[in-house]
Amino acid sequence: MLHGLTIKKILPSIITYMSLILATIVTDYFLHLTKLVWIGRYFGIVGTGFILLSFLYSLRKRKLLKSGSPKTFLQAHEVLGWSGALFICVHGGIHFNAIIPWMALFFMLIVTASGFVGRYLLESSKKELQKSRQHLLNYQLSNEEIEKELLYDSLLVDTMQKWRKIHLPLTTLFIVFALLHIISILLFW
Amino acid sequence: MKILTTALASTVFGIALILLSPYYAINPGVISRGHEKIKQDCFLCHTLAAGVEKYSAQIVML
Repeated sequence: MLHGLTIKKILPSIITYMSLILATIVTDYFLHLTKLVWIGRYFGIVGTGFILLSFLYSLRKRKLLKSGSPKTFLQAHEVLGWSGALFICVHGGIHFNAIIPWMALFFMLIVTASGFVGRYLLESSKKELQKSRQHLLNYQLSNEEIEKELLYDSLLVDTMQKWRKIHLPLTTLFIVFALLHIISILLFW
Repeated sequence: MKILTTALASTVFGIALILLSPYYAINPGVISRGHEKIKQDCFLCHTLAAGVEKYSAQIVML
């Protein structure tokens, strides 16, 4: 029973992750079919832009950005992260030419997978907190305000902190190797 | 602190890799057979931040 429930909970994340791989293969195939492979080179720039925009969530979470619903920022982070990863995967393709860009791609896929684990943990934490915070409704707060409270509280849950201890160094590795790749490409353009 | 250490260590590792073997570290494609002997010396044809100079590749081949 418990096993079944866990599978039901993680299945959407697995499907979303697998859809990234499938979308990459389909897009790459389409580009080859239409002889538009050269576009893949510029997908790197587009993907990087999407991923940079997805980091706005981190700024909102750390309250460096003051306005906007954190939930909306989180949703945008997920959508932009997934789309950016798709562009980067197509850009990288299945070519094993250089170590630095491949390490960047490898860590991006690991960070994406870790992001899905984080989303699952966040949802679980929120559900747990929701049970114990029903009294918020008694203060006649709006749904959005309650959602905001729950999101901030859930980020403080121990599991989330443990997950962040892994997710942030992995993200750092991705950023470092991506930057080395970008700088080297710009220098030898 | 952990993040800073990770960033520093990976940067040093990446730069060392680039300096030791630029061809395997950063070359985005397969080099032609004619350029096989010069594959580790990027600066024979490339100029930093200026790309490939017009005649440099031909000069090397001569």
